Amino acid sequence: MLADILMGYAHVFEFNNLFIVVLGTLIGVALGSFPGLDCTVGVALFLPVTYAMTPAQAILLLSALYSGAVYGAQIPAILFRVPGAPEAVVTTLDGYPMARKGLAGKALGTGLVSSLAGGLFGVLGLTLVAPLLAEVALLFGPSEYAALGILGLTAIASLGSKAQTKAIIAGLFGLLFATVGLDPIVGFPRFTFGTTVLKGGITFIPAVIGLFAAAEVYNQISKGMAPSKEGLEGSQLTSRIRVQFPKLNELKSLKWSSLRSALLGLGVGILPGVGATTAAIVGYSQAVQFSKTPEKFGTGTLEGVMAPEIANNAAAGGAMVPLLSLGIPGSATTAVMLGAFLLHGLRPGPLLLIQQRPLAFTIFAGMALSNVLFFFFGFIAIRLFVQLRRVPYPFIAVGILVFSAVGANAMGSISGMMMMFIFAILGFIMEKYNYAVAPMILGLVLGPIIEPSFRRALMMQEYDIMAVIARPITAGLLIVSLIITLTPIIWKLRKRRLAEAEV
Amino acid sequence: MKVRSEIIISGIILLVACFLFYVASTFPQSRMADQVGPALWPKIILLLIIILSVTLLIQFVIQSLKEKKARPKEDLSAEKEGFRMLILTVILSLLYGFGVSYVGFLLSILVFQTLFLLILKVTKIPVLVLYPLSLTVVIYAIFIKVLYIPLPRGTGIFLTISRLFY
Repeated sequence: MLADILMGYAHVFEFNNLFIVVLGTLIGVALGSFPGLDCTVGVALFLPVTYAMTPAQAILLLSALYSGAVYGAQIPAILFRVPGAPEAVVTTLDGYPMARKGLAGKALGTGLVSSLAGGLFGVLGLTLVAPLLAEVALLFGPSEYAALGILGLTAIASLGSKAQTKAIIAGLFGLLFATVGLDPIVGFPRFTFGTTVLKGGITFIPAVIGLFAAAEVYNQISKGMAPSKEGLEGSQLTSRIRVQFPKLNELKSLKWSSLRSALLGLGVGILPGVGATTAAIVGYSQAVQFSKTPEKFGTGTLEGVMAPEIANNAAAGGAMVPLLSLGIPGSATTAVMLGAFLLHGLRPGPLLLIQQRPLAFTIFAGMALSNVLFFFFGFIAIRLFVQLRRVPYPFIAVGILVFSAVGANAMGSISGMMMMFIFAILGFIMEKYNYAVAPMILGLVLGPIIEPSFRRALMMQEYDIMAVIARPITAGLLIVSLIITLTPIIWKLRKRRLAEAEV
Repeated sequence: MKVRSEIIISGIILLVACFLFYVASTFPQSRMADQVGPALWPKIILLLIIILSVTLLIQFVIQSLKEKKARPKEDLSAEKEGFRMLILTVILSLLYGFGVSYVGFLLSILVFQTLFLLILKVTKIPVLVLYPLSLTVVIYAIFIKVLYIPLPRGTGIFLTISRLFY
C-alpha cells in the first residue's frame, strides 16, 4: 500500500504530469471562481481537451480541475456574496459579513487554509477507503451492479431538492435516453425512428456539454446578461485586499470543529448524490450546533468560513470514492468524470483499482498535489478573478459555445454538434421550469449499468426475480436505497405534523 | 402565466411519454435467449414518467384554478429583450449545427462567432473581426494542429478551402 502511494507521487512528479496538474488546478480555480461555471461545467468543457492525452493525464487534469474549482468558488462568495458555484453558498453566510467588516483578506486566508486541510483530508480518506471498498466490490455480480446502479439513482431526489417530482422525471428521461440505440442484449434498435444517427445511441459527451455548459449561455442571454450589483460594488473592494492567514491559537481553538467538518464532509461526499454542497451545509450546521456562541454565526465568524470550506473540499475527495472503487458516480461532476474514463477506454470500478493500481494511486496523488497547489494559486486566482469579471459576457458566451461545439464534435461525428445544441436548448428549458439537469446526466450514465446488469442477472437466475433480489449484498444495497429515498419524505411529513401541532 | 406554462410543459411530457410508450410496445416481445426483451425496461421508465407527469398536471391545474385573479403586470422589457436575443441565438446555433457539415468547421465557426456577437449587441467592427479571428486561431492551433481532431471540412468549394488549412 505504502509502495503504491509512493509510486503514485513519483508518477505525478514526472514533468508532463506535473504540468498537467498545475494547469488543471489553475483552470479549476479560475472556472470555480467564475459564477455560472461550476466544477461540473468545467470538467464537461475540458473533457474534449483530454482526447490526445494518456488516460492518466486526462484523469489528472480533470481531477485537478475539480479540486481547484471546489476551492475557487469561495473567492466571489466571500468578496461579493456571489458564490462561484453552489458548493460555496454557505461560505457567503459568514465570509461576506467578514469582508464587509474589512476582514476580506482574513476571510480569504481562512478559506484557503480550510480548503487545503479539508482537501487533503478528503484525499487521505479516498486513498484509504477506495481500495478497501474495491475489494468488497470484487464479489459483485450482475444483480449487485444493478442494485448499485439503483443506489446511485437515489441521488436524484437530493439533486433536485427544489422540485423533486420534476427531478425524478428528468432522471427518468435520462434513463430513457440511455436506451436509445441498439439494445445491449439482443441488439434490437430502440427509439431510432429509422435513422442511422440514433442507432449509435445518444452520445454522452455532447449531451453533457450541451446540458451543462451551453445551456448556461442561453440561460444568461435570456436574463438579459445583467451584471449583478454586488459585483460592481465589490470590484472596488478587491484592489486593496491582502490575504491574511488565521493565527495559530485561532486554529487551535477550532480543531475539534474542524475535525468534525472534515469527517462529515468526507462521509457526505462518499454517499451517492449528496455532494460538496450538502457537505458544506452539514459542516456549517454542526459548527453552529456545537458552538458556545451560536448567535455569532452569520455575523462574520472565522468558524463560519472554516467549517463549510473544510467540509466541501473533503467531500470532493469523498465523491471520488464510489466512482473509483465501484464505478458508480455519486454526483454530477463525478458522472462527467466517468465519461472521461469511458472515453479513454477505462471502466472505473474494482478491477481498475486492482489491475491498474499505479493509475489509481497517481490520481490520488494528483488530487493531493492540486490541493497543495491551489493553496499557492489562491493569491494569483484572487487577482485573476477580478480581471475575469471585467470581460463582458458576450465574449465569454461566444468562447463557451465555440468550445462546446468543438468538444461535441471531437468524437469524430458531425451529428455530435447538432446533438449538443439540441441538448443545450433542452437544458435551458429544463432550467427555466425547474427541472434539474443533473438527474438527467445521472440517468444517462446509470441506465447502461442498471438495465443490462438486471437482465443478465435475471437470465442467470432463470427469470426468478426473488432469486435475483435475495442475495445479501443486493438486498442490502436495495434496502439502503429505500432508506435514502424515504428518509427525507418521512422527515418532511414529521416536520409538517409538528408545525400543525404547534398551530 | 407561469402556472399555465407549467401545465403546457407537463402536458407535453405526458404526450411524448405516451407516444414513446406506443413505440416501445412495437418492439419484439420475447426471444428464446432473453425472455425480458428490449421493451420491458423502457416501458417501466415511461410508465413512471406518465404517472408523474399526470400528478404534476393535476397539481398545476388545481393551482391555476385557485389563483384565477389577474395579477398586476410587471415590467418585462429587460426579459423581452433577452428573449429576443435568445431566440436569435438558438436559431443561429441550430443553423450552425446543420450547416457545419456543408461549410466546414473553420469558416462556419468564424461566421458563427461574428453573428453571435452581433446578436448580443457588440457593434464595434474591429472587435467583431479580431475576436472571432483570434479565437478561431486558438481553436485551430489546439484542436487541429496539436490534438489532430477530425473536424468537418465541408463539401465542394468549402472542402477545397478547408484542405488549405487541414
